[in-house]
Amino acid sequence: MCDLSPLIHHFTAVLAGRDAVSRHTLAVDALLREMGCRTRIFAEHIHPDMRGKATDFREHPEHLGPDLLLYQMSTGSPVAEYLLTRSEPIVLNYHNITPAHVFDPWEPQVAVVLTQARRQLRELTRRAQAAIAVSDYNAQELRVLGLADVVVVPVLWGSPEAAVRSGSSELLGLTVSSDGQSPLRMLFVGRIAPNKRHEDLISALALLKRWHPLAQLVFVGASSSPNYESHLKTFAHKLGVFDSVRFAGSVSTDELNEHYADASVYVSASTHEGFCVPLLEAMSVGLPVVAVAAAAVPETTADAAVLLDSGKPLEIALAVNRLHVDESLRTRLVKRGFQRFRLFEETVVKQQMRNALECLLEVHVRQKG
Amino acid sequence: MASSNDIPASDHDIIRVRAEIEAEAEALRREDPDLAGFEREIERTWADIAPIGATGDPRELLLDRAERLSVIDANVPVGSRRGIKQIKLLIRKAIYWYIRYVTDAFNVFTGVLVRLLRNIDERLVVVEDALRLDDADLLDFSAEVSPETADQVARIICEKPSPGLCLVLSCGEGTIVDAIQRQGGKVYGIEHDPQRIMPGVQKGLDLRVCDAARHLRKLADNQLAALVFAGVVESLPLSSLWSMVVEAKRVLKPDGRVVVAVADPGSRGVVEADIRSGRGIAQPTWQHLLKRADFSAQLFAAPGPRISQIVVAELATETHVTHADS
Repeated sequence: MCDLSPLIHHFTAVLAGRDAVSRHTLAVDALLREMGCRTRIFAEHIHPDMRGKATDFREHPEHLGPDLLLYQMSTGSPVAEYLLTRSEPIVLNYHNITPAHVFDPWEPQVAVVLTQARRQLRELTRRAQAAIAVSDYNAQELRVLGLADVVVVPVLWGSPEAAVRSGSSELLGLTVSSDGQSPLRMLFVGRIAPNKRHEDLISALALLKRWHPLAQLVFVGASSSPNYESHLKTFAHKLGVFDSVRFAGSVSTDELNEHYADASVYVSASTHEGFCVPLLEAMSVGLPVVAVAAAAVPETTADAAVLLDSGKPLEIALAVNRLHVDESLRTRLVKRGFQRFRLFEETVVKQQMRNALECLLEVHVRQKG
Repeated sequence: MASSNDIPASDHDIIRVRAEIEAEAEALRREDPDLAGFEREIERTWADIAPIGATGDPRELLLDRAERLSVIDANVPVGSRRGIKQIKLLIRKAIYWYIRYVTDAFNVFTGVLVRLLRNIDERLVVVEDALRLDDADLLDFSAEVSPETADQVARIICEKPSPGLCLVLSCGEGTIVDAIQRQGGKVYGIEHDPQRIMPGVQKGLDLRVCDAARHLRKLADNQLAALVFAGVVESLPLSSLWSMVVEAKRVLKPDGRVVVAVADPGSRGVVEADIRSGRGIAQPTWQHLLKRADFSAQLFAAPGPRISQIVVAELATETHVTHADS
């Protein structure tokens, strides 16, 4: 418990509710309160469902002088510019920033924001006292920028109910077989954004249909680029697989769990991930994973996924096919996936986050108090 | 310090599965022209619809796209009513014919340009084919390093208390990778031929199929503790080789070490000398190249049979090798 009841002002660019950063922000805030701190969340964009949980950062009471400013950094925002003007200690919680060049041809205005985000990150690393990175990959970036005090604590993503429902503890002794009747269904969960390389998955589906004519592909996630999404649909049309591709958009937790339950394999061709929560969600419900070994993905999956060096569609299709026909491999991956998921269970990560926050409070708040 | 025993069996499992999938993909591309063509058609379809800059267009796709974009379709719809509209139609037709004339002239011009680019492209392909290492298939003997030399290289790499990550370029079946791993080093190998690495992959070694120069370019600064040039890298053109030496300097940590373990050019028989690309590079020449890139490089005797010397180089400081003797 915090003896002096420190006041922490918690900032984020967007508080939306369904995305990983928002869920993490709320979880960290709840944890700080559990630790006896007084907290308030400030954001630039607040989803209507989140009203009451956060205040517009433009209304931040400048005179109040909190003990610590905690910033959930994942994109460019005027919030960062505002924090740079403050004199209180700043701690970054870094989720990584999508490289701007991937958005350039699709949504130039987003690319501008992301370029701005990189600049803000550079300035914040000079100004911040310490940082919590959600992966070693992210921590490395901060250290290269000159911030020495960086601790790694994964995303507080919350163990999904689906994992409990599926009786996942039993998976450790289970042979995971496909029924051979239902169509092979690939699932990808994540924003529709060019760095996620949805086109490679659609290409893989077109190739996979040579061996599995009924194969399907489901994309779950809101769109960050309407232009990219519309091109993906045209692409699926041109390849003749549009009827087998479903763009489900943003879904509720129950719907998400249904998608995981209906899928045969989780696939990811993403080339940039700061952590990638959906990989863990898939593992937690016993779904085998095929992913491209890029950015923080290998760190998150370790040996619990088929990791491909390149995102070539044929390799992805063959990996999916291999998982479908090789029962032994599928069983091994599912078991390892569940073991991996246990390392990131809410109670485990929460304890790591508690330790990290305690340490930060001790150094940057209580000693000064 | 990691050893082969420290690497969980599950890691070996995943490395093996990945290598098998990559080898299967390569085999399918070779054996099933329809599949290779379809793969290419998919790539082309995306390149056609995606905005410029959204795809890492390979050269040929870019040319295809330029060719299609260079043709302007002048057949605009000419919906018309009777009467006075006939004049309008006439004007439209005149404009149409004029535009047609201009676009035809433009199309001829761009067509010539694209054909010219295609000719250059074809000649580049011929040059690239001539530089490829496929001639190794014609040789009846292996370019694999001997176990004794591999052990010597491994001792040099692993003599430091915390050797860190080591990369073996042109690793072949993985003899050097295996030796380093047995001596406790953390290591992986790169080889362009997917079939050649299979024996090593089946033994659980981390061997990957990749172009050596491209792989080096992808690595971050100061990522490697040691780098081994092995196999047939000396058959690369001098410009590529020099680029790799420069890249080696970038990816190595400040106390990193380069070891060159390649066959003596003089050990080549008549057949090999005739068939294998390039003349090979003698160890003193390697030493010279490394020194030109600011390494301090020394020669050490090796047990052979094809490699009489190995080159050991470090950045900036003098090379201090204690286990280089065979």
